[in-house]
Amino acid sequence: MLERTPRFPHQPPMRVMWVRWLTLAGPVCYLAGATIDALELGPKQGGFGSLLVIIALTAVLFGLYRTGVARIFQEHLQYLDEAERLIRAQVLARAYQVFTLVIVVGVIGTDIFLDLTRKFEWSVQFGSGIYTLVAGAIIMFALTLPTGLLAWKLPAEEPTED
Amino acid sequence: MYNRIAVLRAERGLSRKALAQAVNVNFQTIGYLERGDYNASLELALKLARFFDLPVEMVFSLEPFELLSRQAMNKEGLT
Repeated sequence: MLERTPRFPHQPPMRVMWVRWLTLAGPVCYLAGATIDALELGPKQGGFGSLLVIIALTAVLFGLYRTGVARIFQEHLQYLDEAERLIRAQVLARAYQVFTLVIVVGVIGTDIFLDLTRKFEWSVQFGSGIYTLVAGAIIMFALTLPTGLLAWKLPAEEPTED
Repeated sequence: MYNRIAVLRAERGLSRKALAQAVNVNFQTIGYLERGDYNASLELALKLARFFDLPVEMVFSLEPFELLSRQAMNKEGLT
């Protein structure tokens, strides 16, 4: 009989509620940091916004990978049971839909914005750092979206062993 | 779909982990089944029925199960 890997192999599980909040707090901090940097609002140019971005990334990665929630995506399929496989398939499909929608809306929105403002280069308005921030946001979004959706799909209180 | 897994497990004094190991799933999955958050596949339903040594329709049902206390009363003609 194939032995299942434990849900939380190294440490006690982080509560699903915490993961849910982290999945919201991460992107919000990233957006805030990026905006502060782009609009040069921080006390020291490029410093405060970047710090917020780093905090956001650390919080999200720590939160998502400390919990067993991420295991459903990281583990090889043969080590998951049927319920976990179903959850993985459903959440990945939904994440793909959401990601596609966000990207399409983002591209169309950007196009309209550029047309309205008659600015053909973002770097003219926001400096060249805007490309890095946008690329970082897209990568972070793509990496954390499935786990974030999963955290919102799983029951907040997981069953105990007893 | 409805099931009697929680009752059968309690009758036998089994933990979720012990039952999960017996049918080769994670203990959370047993919890999801008991709470009705997840419907077992045919394979898992058959495994559970075999483990409890009962016909599958005694463990799973498309209709809500009658309460055991009511069944016992009916059997003894108390209603």
